[in-house]
Amino acid sequence: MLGGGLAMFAAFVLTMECGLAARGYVPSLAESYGLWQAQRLRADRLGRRALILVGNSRMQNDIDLATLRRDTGLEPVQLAVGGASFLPVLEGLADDPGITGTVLVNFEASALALPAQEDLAYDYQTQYSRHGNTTDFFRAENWLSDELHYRLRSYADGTRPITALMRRVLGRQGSLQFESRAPDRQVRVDFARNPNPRHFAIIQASHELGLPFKYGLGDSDGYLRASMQRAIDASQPPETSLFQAAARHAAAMAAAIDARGGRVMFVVLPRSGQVQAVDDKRYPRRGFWDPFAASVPVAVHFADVPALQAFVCPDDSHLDERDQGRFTSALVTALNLGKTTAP
Amino acid sequence: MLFNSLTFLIFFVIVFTLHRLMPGWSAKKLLLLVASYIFYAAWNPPYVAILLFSTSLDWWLARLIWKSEDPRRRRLLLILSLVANLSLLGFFKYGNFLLDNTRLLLAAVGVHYVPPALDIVLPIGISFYTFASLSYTIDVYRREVATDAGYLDYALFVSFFPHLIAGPIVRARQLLPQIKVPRSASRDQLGWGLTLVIIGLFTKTVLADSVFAPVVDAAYASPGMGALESWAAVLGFSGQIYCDFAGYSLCAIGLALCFGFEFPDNFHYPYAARGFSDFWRRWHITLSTWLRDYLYVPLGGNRRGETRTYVNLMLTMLIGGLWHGAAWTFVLWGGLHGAYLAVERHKRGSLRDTPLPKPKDWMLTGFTFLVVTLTWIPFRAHDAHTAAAVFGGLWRPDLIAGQSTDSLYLCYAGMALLLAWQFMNRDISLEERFRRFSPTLQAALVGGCLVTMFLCSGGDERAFIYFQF
Repeated sequence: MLGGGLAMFAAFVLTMECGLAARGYVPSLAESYGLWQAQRLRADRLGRRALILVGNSRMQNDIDLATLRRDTGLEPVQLAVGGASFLPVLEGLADDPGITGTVLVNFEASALALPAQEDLAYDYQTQYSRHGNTTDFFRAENWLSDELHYRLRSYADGTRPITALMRRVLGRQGSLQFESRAPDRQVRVDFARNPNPRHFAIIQASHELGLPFKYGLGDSDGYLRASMQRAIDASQPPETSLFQAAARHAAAMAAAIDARGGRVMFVVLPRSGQVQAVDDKRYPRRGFWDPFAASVPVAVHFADVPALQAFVCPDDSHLDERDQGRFTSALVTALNLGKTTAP
Repeated sequence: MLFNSLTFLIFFVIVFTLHRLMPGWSAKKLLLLVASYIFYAAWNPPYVAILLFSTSLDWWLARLIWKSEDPRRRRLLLILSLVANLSLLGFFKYGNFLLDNTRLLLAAVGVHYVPPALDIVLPIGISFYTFASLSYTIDVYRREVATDAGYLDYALFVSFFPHLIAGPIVRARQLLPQIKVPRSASRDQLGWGLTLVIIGLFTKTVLADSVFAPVVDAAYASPGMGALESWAAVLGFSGQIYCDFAGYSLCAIGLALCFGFEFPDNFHYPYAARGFSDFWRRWHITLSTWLRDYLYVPLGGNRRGETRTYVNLMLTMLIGGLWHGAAWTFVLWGGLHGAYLAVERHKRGSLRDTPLPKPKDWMLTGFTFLVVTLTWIPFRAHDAHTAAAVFGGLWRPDLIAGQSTDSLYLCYAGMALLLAWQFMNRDISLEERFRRFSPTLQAALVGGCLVTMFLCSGGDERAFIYFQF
């Protein structure tokens, strides 16, 4: 009885995995505190050998960790959190005397210019501050769960297998998987498999603008872009006093890490199209990036480096996985982080 | 460590394999004891000390009680055991509740009192192992159980991991004799034990967590939704709490069976009960019989006249309600059940033994289920306001305010199937029902449970509801 039941179960899982593999799916993990916590603990353990990445989805999607490891000789630690501010994580690193490595921060003016949000990065950092380095059942369970999920396509994109079964195996127009996340939190986006990157671009621009963007299913790209442009034209830069205070705070945190032998570098990662237009209108360099860059030892804006400016974001906000390696090498050069200069 | 976790799967495989390989019974028992303490420590290592203290104290006091011939001394020692165990339970489980209510009481008479902020973390399973341990000292006091068990045997009885966290509340007289005699699971026991674990995990992860919980959580988070949503939530919670706790109990019984130990049943199709006393013979059986034997009967039971019987019933149910949690909503839940039992007793005595024509039997079963289901509202709600809002939602003119209709229909369908299954099987055991199926159907059912568990896995992990009690 049990043997028959187990055989039936094994046959089902195998069939489903083969079905998903045939449709081009690869195993992928969902974003989770467990994954982030494991990397955060690595940042402590690695000490000076750590190259810690902080920021939002651009830092996750644009950087190739293997290239970074190869070109710098350092151990990359991916702590960026999609859609979140860099501030809570940078604060946590600054307060932790164990952090003595290199910290690369994906600078977003909005993170400093707007009132602080209790976003996912804030949640992760709060949990970590409370009981981050305890060895407990939850850490073991997270690790086991990730190990299992990263071996089965049925959990791709963090879905439950039932979703994969209904939408991808049985669904007539199964959605294509265009994003994957590895246990080291390396994210790869294949925009060639994304059915409509332009649609994503509109969503990204409205997100940057901080406005909910309403659209109908039948709205054309042209109409949506025109509507977005009107919204951009109507937007104004925020008042700068909040930014100035937060920028001083961020610079002080960087100085705290520098003071104990670490290095903190700030970088503005590529964006294009209407996302760039939003950034130019809402956070003009003269009022935001330039004064901040002058207050910290290392700061690089992609627009100032031709090798970085050459990359195009298919959704106006992130790079395609095919560009990750080349972009990372170019960034290492721009930051002077090559092996010969690494600590 | 949750039964529905990968960590537990690995833990069980290691413990089971070592248990099979160990040469002697003493070594096997020591292994199970060590494993049980590791199982408990996985949650909060320092709280192992409380378990160890409670175990050691009761073992020592029980021996003194057994040896003594002086009734006063024996009574004093029993009281010491009761006070020590209930004080621990009281401090950890009811400390904040008592302080809050003292503050409110004093405020009502104009005294401003700010209680100290106690950041108390409830030791998981304390309500269960306290009751299991107390049953030993009380039974020894009554001379119903001898103190011939060694310390390690007794410690294994209290801490044996399948029942440690959330029951069934196994009594010393049930488990100690089994621990004394060498035993090993037969092929049949092992097969049925693992089948019970699979069925238990299916009811927990698929029915409780995936079918019922999303609808219930959404409605109780924003109470006062449409009538269809409110009814789905109220019915869904009936399904969720049953599937969650009965699923856990099945896992516990099945795991124990894998090592050759037999635990008592904890649920027997409670939603097919004919009346409220019948419900309590089917719902959380080991708690209701514990309360009957160690609270209701010592209070006088039904031996001291009608009025005293009602008082005893009500007291037992109020304390039973409070056992579930330190909140007045639990007391209200217990009080309502006490009132139902009292009214039922007043009207007809136990309805279970009264033969009824089928239509009346169905009506009585349906009525019992409906009342039990509505009475879960204060149990699930965090406060009286939420309970009132959910109850109000049942009578709203609008049907749906925002939840997905798919999840609502799934919840209704799940509940309908659950009720039909309980009604069909109410007079036979799960094992008997399962044995009647052909081997092919049995394999298909086990395989189906595994497949649906796999399909529903990977979402947010939910702890078993009864862990908090």
